[in-house]
Amino acid sequence: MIPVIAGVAVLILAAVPAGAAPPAAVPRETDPSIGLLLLAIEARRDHVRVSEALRLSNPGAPRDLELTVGLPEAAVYLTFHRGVVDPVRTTDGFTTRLRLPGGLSEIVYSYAVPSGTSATLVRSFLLRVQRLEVVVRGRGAGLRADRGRAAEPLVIGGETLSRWEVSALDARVPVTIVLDHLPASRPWMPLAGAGGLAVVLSAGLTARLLRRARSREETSAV
Amino acid sequence: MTELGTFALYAALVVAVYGLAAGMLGLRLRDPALLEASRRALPGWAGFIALASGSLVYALVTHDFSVRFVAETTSRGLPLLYTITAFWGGHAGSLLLWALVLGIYGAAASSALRRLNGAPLVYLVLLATAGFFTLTLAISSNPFEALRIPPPDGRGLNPLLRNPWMAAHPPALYLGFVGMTVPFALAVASLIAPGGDGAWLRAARPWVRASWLFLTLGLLFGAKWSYVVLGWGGYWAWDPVENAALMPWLTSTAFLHSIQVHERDGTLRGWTTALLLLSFALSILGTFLTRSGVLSSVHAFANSSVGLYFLVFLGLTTTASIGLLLRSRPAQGTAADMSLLSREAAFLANNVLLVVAAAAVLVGTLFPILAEGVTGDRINVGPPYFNQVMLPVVILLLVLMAVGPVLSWRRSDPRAVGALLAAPAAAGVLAALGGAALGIRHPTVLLVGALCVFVAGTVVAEFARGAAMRRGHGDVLPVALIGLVGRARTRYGGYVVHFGIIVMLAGITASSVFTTQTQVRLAPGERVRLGRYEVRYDGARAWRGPDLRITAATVTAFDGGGAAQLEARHLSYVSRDEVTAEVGIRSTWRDDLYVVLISLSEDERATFRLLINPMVGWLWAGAVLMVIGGVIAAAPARRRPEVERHARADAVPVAEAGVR
Repeated sequence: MIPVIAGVAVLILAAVPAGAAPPAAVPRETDPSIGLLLLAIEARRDHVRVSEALRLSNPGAPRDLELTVGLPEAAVYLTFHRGVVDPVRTTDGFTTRLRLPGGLSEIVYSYAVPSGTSATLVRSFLLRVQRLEVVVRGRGAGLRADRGRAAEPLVIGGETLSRWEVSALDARVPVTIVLDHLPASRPWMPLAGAGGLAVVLSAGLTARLLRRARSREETSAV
Repeated sequence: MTELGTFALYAALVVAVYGLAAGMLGLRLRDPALLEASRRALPGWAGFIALASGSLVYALVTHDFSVRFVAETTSRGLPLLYTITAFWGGHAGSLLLWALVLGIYGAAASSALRRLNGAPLVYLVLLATAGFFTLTLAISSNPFEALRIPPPDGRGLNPLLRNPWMAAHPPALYLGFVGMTVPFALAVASLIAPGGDGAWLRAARPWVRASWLFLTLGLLFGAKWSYVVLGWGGYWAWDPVENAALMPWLTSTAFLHSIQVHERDGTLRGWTTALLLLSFALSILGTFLTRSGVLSSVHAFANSSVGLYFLVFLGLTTTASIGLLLRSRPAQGTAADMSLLSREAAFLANNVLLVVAAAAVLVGTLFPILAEGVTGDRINVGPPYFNQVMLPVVILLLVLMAVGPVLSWRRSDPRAVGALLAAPAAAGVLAALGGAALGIRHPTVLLVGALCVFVAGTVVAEFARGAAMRRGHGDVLPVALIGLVGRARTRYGGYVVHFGIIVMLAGITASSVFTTQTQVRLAPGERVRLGRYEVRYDGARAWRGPDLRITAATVTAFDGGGAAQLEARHLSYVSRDEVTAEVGIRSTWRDDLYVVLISLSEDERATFRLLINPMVGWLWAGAVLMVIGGVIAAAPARRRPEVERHARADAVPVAEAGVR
């Protein structure tokens, strides 16, 4: 089962032409890099589900790559959707051995991170990222990062998704993504609702008792 | 959904407390408006419980895994039927089901009993019970407990519960268990305000009938599930939770007999009341055993602190019941001129036997806990104990079932009774002799068989006499029979139940004593003979379904007259990493060929356990007859007074003619 947001990530990745990355400023080299890293984030109540789609660029000959990906400390329910074979979960992420063909290849995985009304994701990668794009799905959710700039929102299926872009992120350099106005549960709501009902019913009961007492007083007065 | 469901539970608790407060104040101040508010609180409470239940169903169907209960009991690949029945596939949901059923009964009672003098007391007891369940749900077993981060998929339903019989078993059982609450409330009310004229107990009767009917269905569904799913070849293992359902069934059966005596002459009031209290206590005990996991059982899938709450509730209700019984000491007495050869005496003996049976089952069920508490060692009480204790009870009950219908109220003429019983008794003796001539040497089988025929004889004779009387008025036989049953539903519905019991007993006896079995390892094409069957192993296949892998071995059974293909399966559930079996059964009136796939090797050799279970079909047919009889007896009567008098005249046993 690919979650919706992972599907969105794959969709966006497919829509970006291979020639669109890397930008012209990137120097030519033979080491593999992440040509495009797409972080598709779905804001749900009390947590965000993050799908990371990595378009790996290997300008040299086909090669094996021991890829280590660090994940946020509280990440749970890590799920692999594309391109990852026999991953090994580690305390801070996962490792996998990839057979990189010459040119481009893709891997997609997703995980969930707890959130309140806001959340901060710090992401860094062992490979250089030529272009990082963050997309957030969630009504009213705000998105910013300590690098890059806001991009034109994306409209998919009538839904507008906030975007942020970062270019030329060196290996191991963290980017901090801040999400706010996220949906959060309201555990006080049921209690407040039932409390309101209790007040109304108690008031009705008290009113009845008072009315009764008053009518008895009036009867005894007569 | 978590917020709406939790709100509904809290709101239900508020309404229950409000109803209790209004009811108590109303009784104290004799204020009709407050009493009416208390009465209306019952359907109000039921409405909020229905809202909570609807929320849970919605969460289940929409795979809302942010609800822990949904994540733990369902998965995306689960078929819709089991996604919905997962409602009672876990502890918290099944407690909510308990409350929902109580809501249905409570709302019905608030309407049906409103003209009963003193009904507010009944509503108070119902509201107190409702309050307890809501409190338990809200603080200990909230089915809407949220998961901060929902998993992408759920764990799926316990594979053993993915069966249509198990989908129906818990609701039926709960309709039976919870149905005892209204009669309990009526009994408590009758003890608190003992000035009543027996109307309280009479009012309890339809509720007990409904409850009895659902308990019967629940027991039937559970036995069928055990037979087709667990793959051990049997249908009743004296499992503690099976026993938990059987005990209130036994005591409510006793009530349905004793109430007839009470209705007739006002006697046995204390005893009949005590049966209602006992039935409710046993229902709560049953829920406690199921929910607490205190006993080792396939049903006790939920271990939870809720057991303590139930234990406290059970202790409180039992203590209060005993206290009220001792305080009010309702009139007991029997009619002064009642003889031992009377219907009252037969009903009393039947009551004693049924209560003894319930007590024996209770002792056998609780003994392992008590022994563990005292010695620290777990001692299991198995089928040998239960079979040994129950056999004499069943034999004596069969005798009463045979004799009872021909006895008159108060006093019967022994000669008239003898004359009426002669033919059925002779048929029973002939049946035993016939069985012996056919080579049956098992004395229990011969005795039970003879008694079953004896009972069948008296039941058939009763129908024949009644129909003959009506045919004298010009009715054709089918019309006469329908008219007969329609005009004395309790009586003839009861006879149908009795007939169902003997058909079922015949099946139980034959399948318990004459089962044959073998275990074989076969290659495709190989054959084995078992009894009248020759079984050929045809081959195996495997395929994938939603959330499961299925491995099936096909066999063809030849019985001389024809051939039937059966498939025994292993179902391997991916989401839960569990394997269950599906048995291949060829069912005829004579016997069941029961094929269990034990293992399958890579070279397609299969190991099977094959059983021939004689007359198991009779067991199911008997149970269905019992349910039909229960429905006939429970159906509301539509009689005009003059017709009623006529019906009563019809219902006079022939033996009574000898007394007049």
